[in-house]
Amino acid sequence: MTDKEAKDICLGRVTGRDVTELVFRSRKSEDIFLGEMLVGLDEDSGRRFLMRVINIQHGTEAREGGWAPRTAGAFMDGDAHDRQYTIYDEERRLYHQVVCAPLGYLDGVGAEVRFKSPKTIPAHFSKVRHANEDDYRFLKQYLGDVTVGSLRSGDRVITSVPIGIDSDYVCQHMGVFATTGMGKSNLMKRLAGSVLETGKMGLLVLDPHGEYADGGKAELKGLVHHPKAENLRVYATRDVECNASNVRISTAEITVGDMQNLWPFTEPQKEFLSAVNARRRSEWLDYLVDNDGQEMFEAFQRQFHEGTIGVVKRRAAVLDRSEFVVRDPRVSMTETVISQLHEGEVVLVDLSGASEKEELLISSVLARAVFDRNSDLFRDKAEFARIPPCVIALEEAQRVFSRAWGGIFPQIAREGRKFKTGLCAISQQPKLIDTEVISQFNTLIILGLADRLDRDRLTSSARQDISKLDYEIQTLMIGEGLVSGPNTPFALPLKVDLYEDYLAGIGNHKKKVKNVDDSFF
Amino acid sequence: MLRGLDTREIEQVVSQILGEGDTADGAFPESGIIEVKGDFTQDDFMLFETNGSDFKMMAVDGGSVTILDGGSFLVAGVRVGQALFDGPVCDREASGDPEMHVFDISLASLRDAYSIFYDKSVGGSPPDTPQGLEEGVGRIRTLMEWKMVERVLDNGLPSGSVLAFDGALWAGIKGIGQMLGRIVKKANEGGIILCGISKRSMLTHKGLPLIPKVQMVGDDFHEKKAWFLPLEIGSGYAEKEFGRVYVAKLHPYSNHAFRIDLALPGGADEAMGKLAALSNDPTYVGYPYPLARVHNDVAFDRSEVEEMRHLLRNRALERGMDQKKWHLTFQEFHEVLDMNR
Repeated sequence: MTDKEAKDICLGRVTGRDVTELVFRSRKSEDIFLGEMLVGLDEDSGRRFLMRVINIQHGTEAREGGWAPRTAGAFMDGDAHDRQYTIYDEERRLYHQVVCAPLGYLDGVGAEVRFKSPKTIPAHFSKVRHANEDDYRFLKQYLGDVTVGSLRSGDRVITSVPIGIDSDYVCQHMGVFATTGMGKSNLMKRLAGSVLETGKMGLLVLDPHGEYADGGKAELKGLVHHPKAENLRVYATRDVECNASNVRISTAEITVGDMQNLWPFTEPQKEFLSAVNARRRSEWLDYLVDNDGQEMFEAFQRQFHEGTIGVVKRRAAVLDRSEFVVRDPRVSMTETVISQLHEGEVVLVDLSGASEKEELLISSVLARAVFDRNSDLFRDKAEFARIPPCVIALEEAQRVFSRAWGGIFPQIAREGRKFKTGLCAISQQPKLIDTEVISQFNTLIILGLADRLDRDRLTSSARQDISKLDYEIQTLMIGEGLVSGPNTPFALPLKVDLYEDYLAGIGNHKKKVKNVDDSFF
Repeated sequence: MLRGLDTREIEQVVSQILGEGDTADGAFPESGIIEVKGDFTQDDFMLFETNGSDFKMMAVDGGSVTILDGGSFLVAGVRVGQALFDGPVCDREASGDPEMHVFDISLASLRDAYSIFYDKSVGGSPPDTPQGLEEGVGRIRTLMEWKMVERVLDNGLPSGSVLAFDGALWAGIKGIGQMLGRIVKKANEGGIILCGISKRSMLTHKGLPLIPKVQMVGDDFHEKKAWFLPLEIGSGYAEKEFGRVYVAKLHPYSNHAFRIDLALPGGADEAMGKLAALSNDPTYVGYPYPLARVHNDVAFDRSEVEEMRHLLRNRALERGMDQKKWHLTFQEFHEVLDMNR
């Protein structure tokens, strides 16, 4: 057997440790990368132990400590005197010690292969090799039917093993977390693209930055460029490169809670809002806008200070002045959005032309409308069974999830699962999200996260133990990630398809987006 | 505080180290402890350059270890090996596996055991018997090393190659002169540079170890240079000398000089240049790496000794030996004392 053949078969041999960590010795020249998936072959039992590289260290044959610094010193001395030294027998004297997290083992052969959690260890000196397609075969059942990319092993992309999220679990909520620039938007476009193809769920994408419709930049593609764009509905607060409908919500759909999420209110102000709401129900906002302060002061028997009433009224007027807020409930987009979601379509709401307060308000109103409708349908078993799961994708999610209670989003996080309403919370600062809320996200897609506090928050909430993957998460490149879900046997390493490449792969013809009936408005 | 120390003895020892004592009777040329006469001048030291790496070097070395000590007998292990380098690269296949022997040796069986190895390497019966068990094991190892050197020559090396071994071209064992003569002849006929490199030497100068003294003088004359010094050792035992003796520093930045014995068809410059060419490993600066490698290959480490003990014990028990008897045979009370000191 040549050296090369030996290398193909065997990357090294297991040297020790325990069920939580395995170490093997590999050749110095072997290209092994953090996050790579390898297999330890226990020849006695025939088991294949899947393991993921979590650290790579230098090793030397030298018995005495301090050999390496001494040798480095000799090299440096040689450098200073223009003398070349040669390390003879490098491959024998120098090696890599590769530390791996055991993922589990494959027992049995052929169709009888079973994946089991890592409750035992491979035999001493078991051979280690790269995982191959046969090793990954068992993963098929766990890979998810709404694909976003491919399995990754270190830097290598295993294109034959697509990875995504499982539509059966989307109502158990998911979180997409990454530092800016690590590929969140690309991931969401790719996810939406898959939904456009499969129609397995209704996806409401709330886009505050205008990145999804036409790509946002000339060199980027958007959802409107998807060959199945006939399943896409776009509502926009600005001009976009497609037929888009106007964003409109009615004052009757706005709740006191929505308003309280936009500004801080004092206790008297909250009491006043509550009193108005109790008296005027769905017309509370119109009432505040249409009546002057003095009238309301009298109408409420002078129970509230004029100053309190003035502040609340001014804020109500801000909402009323928004071009996206209308009085006529029939003009609201919510009914149409709900029915489109129930058809398994992707509804994109481009909010880049709205202020942050408007964006949060519109998002809350739409999310509540979907959740309330699905809750109502829950009582009608047949109708409820007909609707697909509905997922609401929300950017900068830390803004609405800093507390576990208050507002529609935390409520959906707690109760949405039962009513086929899932959340896809996208954030670059998971540390700002309440732990109780994060624990409701059963699927986590983690792209590169530089902040330790962010990683710690996710580590404590993930379905699988990802504590040993901390360094890997730090070193993830753009588009690389980990998927941890209720149905994944371990955190699956992922390479998200570049959306533009994905489009090219499925036939890049721009389709006309179906017109929403504007005459309706 | 060192209990029981008579400090006058410290003074005596230091005097000896400083060369102040009576050293006239220190030399025993027949045993290789030879006093080198004269002083060294700058002109005696020869400077040289490395000589490329387009040649082969075969290195041979041996190692031995006491596996079990039963007091009146020993179980010993001896291993010899070779490493062939083609330029800077080790040819693992041509180097092959080391040869290892395990044997028991007692004062009663010493002659027989030694005779077997002597016959295998030199041929015939040995003219004498080692004085003790340790010496017996040492001689067996040396005989095995010489046998391997001869085998290498018999198997053939390209002309211009270096055949290096750990030791001197000195017939330190009675009866092996003929074998050494044969080896040198084969090397010369094949154009092979036969060279012994001694990590320790028994040569003295004015009663003190010769090599450090030469090194100090050589470095004073030729700072940061590679040099060698030819010696006239004049042992008076020409039948034991099979090569020319040198002290050499093979790398300008090495802290070590070695005794090098050469039996060669060409000049010492070429030989030294070739040895120097493979003496630039940063761990073993100034020592030919192939010799370092083979030294490490044949040395016994503690785990190997433990494994051998385990193997022997298991076989003994399988063959009916009582566990207690094994324990009583090889127990060592010093270990108990040391452990509880």
